[in-house]
Amino acid sequence: MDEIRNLVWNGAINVKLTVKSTLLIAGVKKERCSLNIRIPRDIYLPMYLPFMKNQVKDYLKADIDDRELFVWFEYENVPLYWNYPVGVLFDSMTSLIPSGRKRGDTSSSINMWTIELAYGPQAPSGVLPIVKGQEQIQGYWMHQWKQVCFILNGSAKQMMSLAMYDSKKFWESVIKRDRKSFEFIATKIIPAKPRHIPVVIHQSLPEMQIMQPVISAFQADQHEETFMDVLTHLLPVLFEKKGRAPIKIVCSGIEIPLEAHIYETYLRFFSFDGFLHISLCLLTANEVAIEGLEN
Amino acid sequence: MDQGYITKLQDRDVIESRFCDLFRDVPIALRDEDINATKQNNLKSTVNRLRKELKDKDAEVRSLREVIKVKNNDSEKLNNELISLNIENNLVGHKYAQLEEEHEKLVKRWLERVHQEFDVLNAR
Repeated sequence: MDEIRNLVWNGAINVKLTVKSTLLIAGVKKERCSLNIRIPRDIYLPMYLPFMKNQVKDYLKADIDDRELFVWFEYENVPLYWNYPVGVLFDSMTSLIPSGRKRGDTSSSINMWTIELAYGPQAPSGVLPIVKGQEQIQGYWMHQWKQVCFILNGSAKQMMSLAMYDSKKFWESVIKRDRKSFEFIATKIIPAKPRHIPVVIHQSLPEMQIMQPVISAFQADQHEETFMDVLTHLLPVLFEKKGRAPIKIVCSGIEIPLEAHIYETYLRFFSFDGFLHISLCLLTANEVAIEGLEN
Repeated sequence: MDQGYITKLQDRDVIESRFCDLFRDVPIALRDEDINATKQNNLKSTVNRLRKELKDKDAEVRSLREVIKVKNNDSEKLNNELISLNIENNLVGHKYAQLEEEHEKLVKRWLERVHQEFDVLNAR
């Protein structure tokens, strides 16, 4: 399990950041202010914002540090919800099907996510405005952990009773990418027998949806709950037909079997905000046929 | 199952880290001192930009003042010219009135003379 946690923690993606051409000073080419950076999957995108701003601000029409301007990120003109980890956004927004990606992969193919930096007097609907930088991100992240603690234990006591030093160290472990410190504090919050499991389900197609169902670790008959159990209840239409459901669940860039136990998966794949984020990929008839042939 | 996950994650890393040397590994510059340094740099560059802008605006104000001065002189000249033309107009008007009066007198004298000559002719 430790090896899985290590791989999950150290996962990173290649990101090409550009700026919306309408926001650039006339005559500045878009390529001039594009940044190629490698970002860990388990982090919030705006944590790189100070660096990004510094690199591109000279080419922008407006002063990006202006307090009256809001900054956000977009992928194919769709605003990104920065309050979810980068890897989750990548998986869900690109509707990643790992097996399909692997099939098309060659030794010379490059895997890169191109996103755009945008700004304006008003943040898009649903996007949390970033107004206090690091302080706000840290506050949001702590709040997520309080929620996680409450879902797992039925109260936020474990989180609230963390020593000041531990709280600080917890956040620093994320910034410094120190997995050992992170896991050391996280295990104080995650119990052996949880009440419920903090899971966030992301779906981008056919419409963008984020679900946060109440999931118990065990069913009434003491069997461990699987993804199939939860999704059958949550999306019954997809499971009406016999045979394979036209759906894949992706977590940390890999496919997770529908039959996997949720709590076991949680312990292996939980994100740096304490939630287990999974992306749902609906398969087309063609993809179902290809997947069926492979299996 | 764990071995399966490990293999999948390793495969993922192979795909996602290919050509990663083309992408910069940026340390998360979120430590307070980094942010403060960035802010300081931003402030410095803003102050420099504003100073340059102020200098440009001062130069613009100076040149506009000179333009106003020249325009004021022009306006004064025009006023003087207007006054002198008014005086000239008055004099010309006066002369015109005198000439008109003289003309009337001459016409009157000529009519009297013609009248006298007509009377003399009638008397013959």
